[in-house]
Amino acid sequence: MQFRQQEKGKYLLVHASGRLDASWADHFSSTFKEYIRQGQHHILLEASEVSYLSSAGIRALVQVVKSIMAVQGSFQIIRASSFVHQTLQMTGFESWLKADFPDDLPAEDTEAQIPDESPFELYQLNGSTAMQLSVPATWVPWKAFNSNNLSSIRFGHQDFALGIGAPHQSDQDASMHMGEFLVVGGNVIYQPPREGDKPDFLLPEKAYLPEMHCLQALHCTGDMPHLLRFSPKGNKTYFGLGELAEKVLTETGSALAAFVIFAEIDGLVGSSIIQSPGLLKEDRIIPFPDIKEWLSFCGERVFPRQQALIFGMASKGLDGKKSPLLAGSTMHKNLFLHAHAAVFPYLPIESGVIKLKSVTEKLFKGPPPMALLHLLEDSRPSTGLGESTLIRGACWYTAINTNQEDTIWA
Amino acid sequence: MLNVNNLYKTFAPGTVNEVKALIDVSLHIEEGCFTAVIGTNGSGKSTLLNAIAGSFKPDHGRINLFEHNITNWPEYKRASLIGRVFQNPFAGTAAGMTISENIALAMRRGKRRPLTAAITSRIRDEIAERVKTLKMGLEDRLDNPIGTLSGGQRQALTLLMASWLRPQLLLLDEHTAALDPKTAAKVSEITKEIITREKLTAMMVTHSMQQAVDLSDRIIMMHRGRIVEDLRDEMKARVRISDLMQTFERVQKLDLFDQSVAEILEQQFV
Amino acid sequence: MGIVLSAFTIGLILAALTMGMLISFRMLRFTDITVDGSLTLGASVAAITIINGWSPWLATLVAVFSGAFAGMLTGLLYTRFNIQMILSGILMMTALYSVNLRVMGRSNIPLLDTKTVTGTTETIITGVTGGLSQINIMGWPVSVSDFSVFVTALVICIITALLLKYFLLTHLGTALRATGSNPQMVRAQGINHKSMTVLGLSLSNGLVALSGALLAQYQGFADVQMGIGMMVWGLASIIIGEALVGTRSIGVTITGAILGTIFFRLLIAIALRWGLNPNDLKLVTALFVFIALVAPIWVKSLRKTIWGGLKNA
Ligand SMILES: Nc1ncnc2c1ncn2[C@@H]1O[C@H](COP(=O)(O)OP(=O)(O)OP(=O)(O)O)[C@@H](O)[C@H]1O
Ligand SMILES: [Mg+2]
Repeated sequence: MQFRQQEKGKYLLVHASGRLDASWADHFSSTFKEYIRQGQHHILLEASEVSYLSSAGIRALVQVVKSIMAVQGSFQIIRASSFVHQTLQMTGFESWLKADFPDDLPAEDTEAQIPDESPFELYQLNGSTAMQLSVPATWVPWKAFNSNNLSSIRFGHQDFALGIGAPHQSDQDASMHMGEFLVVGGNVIYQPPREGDKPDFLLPEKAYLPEMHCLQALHCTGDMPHLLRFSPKGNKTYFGLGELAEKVLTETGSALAAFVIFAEIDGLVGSSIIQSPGLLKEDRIIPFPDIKEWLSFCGERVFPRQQALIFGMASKGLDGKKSPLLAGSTMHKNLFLHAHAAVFPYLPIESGVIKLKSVTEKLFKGPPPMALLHLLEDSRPSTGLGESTLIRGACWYTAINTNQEDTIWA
Repeated sequence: MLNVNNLYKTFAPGTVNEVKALIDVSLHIEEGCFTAVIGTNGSGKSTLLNAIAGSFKPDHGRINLFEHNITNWPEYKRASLIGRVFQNPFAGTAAGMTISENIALAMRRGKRRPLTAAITSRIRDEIAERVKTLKMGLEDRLDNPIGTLSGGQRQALTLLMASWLRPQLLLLDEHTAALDPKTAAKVSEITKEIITREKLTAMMVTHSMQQAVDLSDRIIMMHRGRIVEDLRDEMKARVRISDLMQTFERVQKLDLFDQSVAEILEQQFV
Repeated sequence: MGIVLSAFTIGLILAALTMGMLISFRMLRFTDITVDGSLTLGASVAAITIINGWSPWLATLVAVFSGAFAGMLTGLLYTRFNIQMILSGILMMTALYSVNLRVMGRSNIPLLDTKTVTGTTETIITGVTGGLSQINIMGWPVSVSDFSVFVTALVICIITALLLKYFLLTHLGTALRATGSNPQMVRAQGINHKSMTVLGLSLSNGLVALSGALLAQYQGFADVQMGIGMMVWGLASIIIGEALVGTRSIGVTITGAILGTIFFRLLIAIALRWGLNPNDLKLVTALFVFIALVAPIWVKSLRKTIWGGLKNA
C-alpha cells in the first residue's frame, strides 16, 4: 500500500492506494498510529484507490478507529472504491463511510501555512488560584534515619506530592523500603528501593485513601487551575523540563510553582534510590563508588516514545540555600527544581482542554508504570545527557504561596 | 553443598593486560539445585567454573564442596567429585579414541585405573545400553573414533560421560553454544533429562536466557567479575526473559556511573 | 639373502624403539629427544653388565629399567619443573652422553666373545638342525647364528608388541592414550595427566633402551655415538608404518610400527647397496622425515593408493 497525506485544517487527509489485506494490515495500522502520535486526531481516509479490503484489513481499521476514539478524534472514509464500500456495508461498518469531504475542510493545504504558530496553548481551568505547600518530612541525603522524623500522610483526590517514603505499615518495615514516590490527584506511584523492581501504585478508591510514611515530602492540596498544551511546531521538536518549568513560573508570576506533566517522552535523565535511606544509622557523606549502591543512574537518555507522568516543583527567585529540597539547575539560570517522573507505555491523549482527572483515570486503567525516576540535569561537557525532554503533552500547574517561607524551607 | 567464599582471580596482574576476572565472588549452592550462570562476554562465568573445577588456583578465597575444602586440590583430584562439559564439543572427548574407549575413561572418573582390559563385552553392553538412551543411534557406532561424530553427538556423549558416575557437581560451560539451534535444543533436552533423573547439582553457563529461564532452578548473573544478580525460589519462578534483559541493561549502565555522575548526584540529588 | 635377513633382524630389533616412540610421539604427543640418549644407555648398560658376566637376559632387563628411569626423569623435568618439552629431552640426552661414558668407562665396548640373548635360541636351533652351521631357507643358505638372531629378535618383538597392545587397552593404557590427545579432558576424568606423561615417557624410553640393548648384542659392540639420529629413524619408521597400514586400531598401529621399521631398514639396505654414501644416510633420513611431516596429505593419499591397489588387485 501507498499513503500520501495532506494536512487540511484540523484534518489529516490520507490518500491510500493498493490492497488492504493481511500482508499490509500491520503496516497500515502502524502508519496511522504514528499519525495519531503526531497529534493528528481527525483523519480522513481517501479510499478511491483501495482496491481490496480483507477481514485482516478491517481489523486494522478497527484498531485505528479505536485509538482515534480514545483521543476524542474522528475517522472517516471518503470516496471509498466500490469494493471497499460494499465490504464495509456488509460487515456493518458503514458508519465510517462518508460520501464526500466534510464541510469544514479547507480547500488549501495547511502544511506550509503559519510556520511560526506558537507551540504552546494556554487554558484557564476552574479551581483555586494558588495552593499551599507543606513540607512534613525534610530528610536530605544522607542523614541518619530516625523514625521520629517519619510523617504519615493520607492522600486524597486533591493531593499532589513528591518525596521519599514507603507504604509499609510498621516503622521498621517502612524504614527498609524507603523509595521515591510521586502523588498526582491522590494517585500514589512508589518505587521500591531495589534495582529492577517495578514501581507500585496505590489509588484512592471510595473510602480508601493511600497512606505513605514519608521521610521526605513536598506536598500541596487543591486543584490545578492552569493548563499548558505543548506540541512540536516547525523547528521546535521537543521541550526541556527546565524550559517548561520556567514557562510555568512566568505564567503564574509566582516565585514557586507546582506542575503535573503528562507527555510523550523524548528522553528522560534521572536516577533512583536503590537502597533504602532508612538503613542509614548515622549522617554520612557517601563517596564514589559506594554511592553506586544507593543510587542508580540512567546512563543514557531513557524511555523515548513512552509516556511520562511528572510531578514537580520549581522556583525562581527563592533563596536556594533556604530551599534544600529543590536542586539548583545547571542549565537554567536561577531555576530550582525537584521533579519525579513515572514512566508508562505510550498513551495518546486528546488535544485541547483536558482534565487531569480524566487523564489519570485512563492512565491507571491501562498497563502499569514501568519506572520511576528522580529527574536530573546532566551538563557534563561533551558526555552530558542534558535534561529530560518531552515531545508533546499537557502541563497542569499552579502557583504556590510562599508566605510561609521560613517554616517551609527550614 | 558448594560453598564459594570471597574468590578473587586476576589474570596478568601488574601488566597492561591485567584482567580482574573474579572479584570477591561468594556463592552458596544447595544440593540438587540447577543453577544457570548468565552474564556479558568476559564477565567471568567461565573463570568461576574453572576455579571451581580447579583449572587454576584462585588468588584468594576458599571453595568447599561437601565437607571437603577443595581449594588446593588439583584439577584431576576434584574430578572425582565434579563432572564437566565444555563449550567446545571437542574439548570433552579424545578424538582419536573410540566412543566406547572414551566412555570407559569416564566410567572410572576419579577412581583407580587397573591393568585390566578397559573394554570387556560386559562393559560394552553396559555402554551400549546407556548410549541408547541418547536416542542418537550411537550405540551402533561404539567402535568408531569419536572424532568422526558431529559436535552435537560429541557433546551429548560428553554429557553422558560427565554424569556416568553420579557427580556431586556437574559443571556445564555454554555446552550448547557451539551447536546449531536444533542440535542445541536436543542437547538441552538431554541435559535437563539427566539432571532431573539423577537429581544432580549443576551449574550451567549459558548465553541463552531462554535456556536459563526454562531449565534452571536459580539464575546467577555475572558482570565484570562479580555476581550482580541472584534469582532464586519465587524470584526465579516469576522471572521472564525481558526481566533478565532489563537487568543486563541496568548492569551495563552501571559502568557509565562514574565519578562525574557521582558529582552530579551530589549537587542535584535532594 | 644375508642382506635381507640382517635388514629384517635390525628392523625387528629397532621395532622396540619405534614402539616406544609410538607412545611418546603419537600417544603423548611428546617430541622426546631423550631417545638418542636412552638407546645408547640401554646398549651401554647391557654391554657393561654382560662383560661383567651377567646373564644377557638380566642385563637386557636392567637396561630396560635404566631407560625407563631416564624417561621418567625427562617426564619430571617437563611436568614438575615446567621445562619445555623439547628442552627437557635435550637436557636429558646431553646428560645421558656423559652418563653413558661413565657407565661404559670408555666410548666403546666390544661384545665379540660374550654370550648374548641369542644364545638360547642358537642352542635350540642347533639341536633341531643337528649341528649344521648353515641351513637352507627358501633356497638360500643362511648361517644358523644369523638365523637364531633373527628368530630371537622376532620372538622378543612379538612378545613386546603383544604386551604393549594389552597394556594400551587396559584402563591405565586407555588413560595414557587419552593424555596426549586431550589433556583437558583427561584431567576432567580425574586422571593426573602429569603422572601419565611421566609413566608414558618411562615406558617409551624403556622400550628404546630394550632396542639399544638388543642392538648392542646384535652388532657386537656398544658405542657412545650409536644413538645419534635414532629419534629421526624412529619417526621415519612410524610414518612409513602409518602409510603402510594406517592407524585403525591399536593392534594395527603397533603392527604398522614394526612393519615400518623393517621396511625402512630394507630401504636403507637397498639404498646402500645401490651406492648411497653411508655418510649421507642421516641426511637422507632427515629429508625423508621432513617430506613426510610436511606432506601428511600426500602420505594419506599414498596410503589410500596402496590400500586401493591391494583391494583392486
Ligand atoms: N587464561 C587467561 N589469561 C588471561 N585472561 C583471561 C584468561 N581467562 C580469562 N581471561 C579474561 O578474564 C575475563 C573473564 O573471562 P571468562 O572467560 O571468565 O568470561 P566469560 O564470562 O566466560 O565470557 P564468555 O561469555 O565470552 O565466555 C575476560 O576478560 C578474559 O579475557
Ligand atoms: Mg565463557
